[in-house]
Amino acid sequence: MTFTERTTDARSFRHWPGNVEADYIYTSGIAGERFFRELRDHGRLMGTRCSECGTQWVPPKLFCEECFKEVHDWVELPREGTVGAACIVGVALDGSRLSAPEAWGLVRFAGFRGGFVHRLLVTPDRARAGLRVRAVLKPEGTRTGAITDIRGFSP
Amino acid sequence: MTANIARWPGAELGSKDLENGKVTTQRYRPDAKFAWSAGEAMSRFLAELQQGRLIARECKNCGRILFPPRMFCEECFRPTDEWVYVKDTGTIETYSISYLDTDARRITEPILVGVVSVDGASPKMGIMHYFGEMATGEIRIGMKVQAKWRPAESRVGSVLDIEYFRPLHGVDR
Amino acid sequence: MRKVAVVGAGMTLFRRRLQETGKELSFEATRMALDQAKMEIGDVDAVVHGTAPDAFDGVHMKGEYLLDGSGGTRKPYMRVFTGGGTGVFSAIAGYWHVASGLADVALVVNEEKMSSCQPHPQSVFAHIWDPILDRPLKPNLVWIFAMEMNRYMTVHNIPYEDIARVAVKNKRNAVGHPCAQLADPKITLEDVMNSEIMAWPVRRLDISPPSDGAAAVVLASEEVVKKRKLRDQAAWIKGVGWCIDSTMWTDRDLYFPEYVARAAKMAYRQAKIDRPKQQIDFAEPYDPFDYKELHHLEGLGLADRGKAGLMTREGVTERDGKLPVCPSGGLLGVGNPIAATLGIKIGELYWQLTGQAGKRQIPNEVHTGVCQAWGDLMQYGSVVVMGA
Repeated sequence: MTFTERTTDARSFRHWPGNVEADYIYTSGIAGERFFRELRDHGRLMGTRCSECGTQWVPPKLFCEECFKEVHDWVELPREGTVGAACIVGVALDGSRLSAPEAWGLVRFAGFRGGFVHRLLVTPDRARAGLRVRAVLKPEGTRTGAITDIRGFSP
Repeated sequence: MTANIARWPGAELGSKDLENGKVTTQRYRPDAKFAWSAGEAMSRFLAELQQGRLIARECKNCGRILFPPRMFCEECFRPTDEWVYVKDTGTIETYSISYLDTDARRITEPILVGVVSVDGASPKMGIMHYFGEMATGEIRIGMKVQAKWRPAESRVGSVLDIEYFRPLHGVDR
Repeated sequence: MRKVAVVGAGMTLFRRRLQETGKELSFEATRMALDQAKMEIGDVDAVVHGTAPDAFDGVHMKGEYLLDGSGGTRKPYMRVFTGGGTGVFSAIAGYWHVASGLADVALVVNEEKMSSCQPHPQSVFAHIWDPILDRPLKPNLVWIFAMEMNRYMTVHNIPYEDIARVAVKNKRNAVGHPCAQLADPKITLEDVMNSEIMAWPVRRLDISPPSDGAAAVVLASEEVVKKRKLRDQAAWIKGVGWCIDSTMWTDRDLYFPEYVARAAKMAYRQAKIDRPKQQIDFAEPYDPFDYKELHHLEGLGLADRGKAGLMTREGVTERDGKLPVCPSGGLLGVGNPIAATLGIKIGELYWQLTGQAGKRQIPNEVHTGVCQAWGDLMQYGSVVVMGA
């Protein structure tokens, strides 16, 4: 069964345009606050370690996803990480072509669960899994306590 | 009960703390644009509004005149059958006198808003709209009202083609 | 269907703004509930997460986002959302996991972080309206409640002070709730009646505040209760019901919540309740606005139509009255983090029925309670009956 009467002239269909306005401020949270302060004030990348099962988390968590216990111990990340996966981005968020392609990757750290999805500061032909990288931070004083305080990861 | 709430007493923040850098935050303003298709029933409804008329749909199974119009009857769960013009007069079913705007900001000149059931549709069938040409002390449930249309040349096919509903003098019960 | 008990509950502080992320709040509530149930995450077979529109937290696919804080990783996990009705409905979804035999232990976690939304969560409420019929009028959410309250008051000729009394009672009841946001031992009827008009007839103190918070409950089968010797701390789910009325809200008479009445009928049938006024000892109806407590008491069949205000005036619904209503302090006193009101509704029934409500414990012995939540465009009701 279908509607007994249908519009046959599609031009008579109407639309109502609009946008879904919204504006947000997100707090970093309890674990996130300490992480971003260490990054901003001391240029350090920190993770947390579960004293119950030993799992180390980056970015740090207040709780252990594995054993669901509260996590208290903080540990500094090794200076070097490894690119777990990489991709070359040619299109901006709004769909326009980027003037130059960018390399992005998932950076992991030995002994830690998780990692950072971040920009790889290399030419696209060098962006590949297995590349050893270090975080390049914005200069002290210009950091705001955000993930963008890391400019990217370079070999 | 939640005795161990003492373990996580909660970190309360004040209204300014999100802005003044007491804690680290991220700000984000999504930019989501839409064009909502009006569909079969609403496209005709909007076209009729532009002509200064209100239109409904009749379900021959339950006999209801459905307003706002829809192509299906949600009670009988079958297609509706015919277009029926209804009047631009009706009754205030309920209302509010609002001192809040859309964003919950305070306003001094109140908005009179409510539900009008329209004459010619089945009982209680109506729309939400503004009220005008009446004082806050005059408005009441049961009041007879009539649409105040915008001039024909400024109508665009929108519920706002009706500026507001105003008292229908002389026939008030 | 198998018997299902609540064996633990937890809830975080409810506040207008909390620093904790939604995940952290979910973890805290869940950890408290597990601790009370003497369980670890490995004992949990399935997780149900309840949370309101993504637009409040400002995270799309909020169910997935909150997963790790809710203990759902690598488990059967689902998010449910039925507007404000989620506060009780998520527990119904948890119930059917265990009642069906698909899970022996199910965790139900509800969270809301409304403070992310600027300048006020009201801004995104605008997007719940029909984009063509309603949104061009720039509606404010309080409008529909004002319209419903006005219709209810006018049809039954209820004086405003009988409605305002509910706010006084609940904000006083919240004193002694460790999570409460708006407890006020000194609040008077005059305070409410003279508070600022927001959208007449609704005044500022008629409304519960937006809040950040989380709550969780652990549900277990009868076998688990026996095996783990949890009988002393178990409260049983006796009946569940839910119902939604037409979205065409301008076509309905708003004076009576038909959706709550139908949801209650479904729950009462299962709980073998045919005379709710005699068989139910206390109630936690949804009270985001003071008139809603009265409206819902009538929908639940605990008051005659138009008479719930009179019961409030006569003290029947006080904590030491014949039918204590919102002994927790309700949303008006404890706060309104939409879905996380689970802790005020299911949580309070649990704590009251197991004698763990502390300063809020109802002085008379209670054996059967009913809780209810409400949501969407004044159209949704979820009801749970619990017994000791």
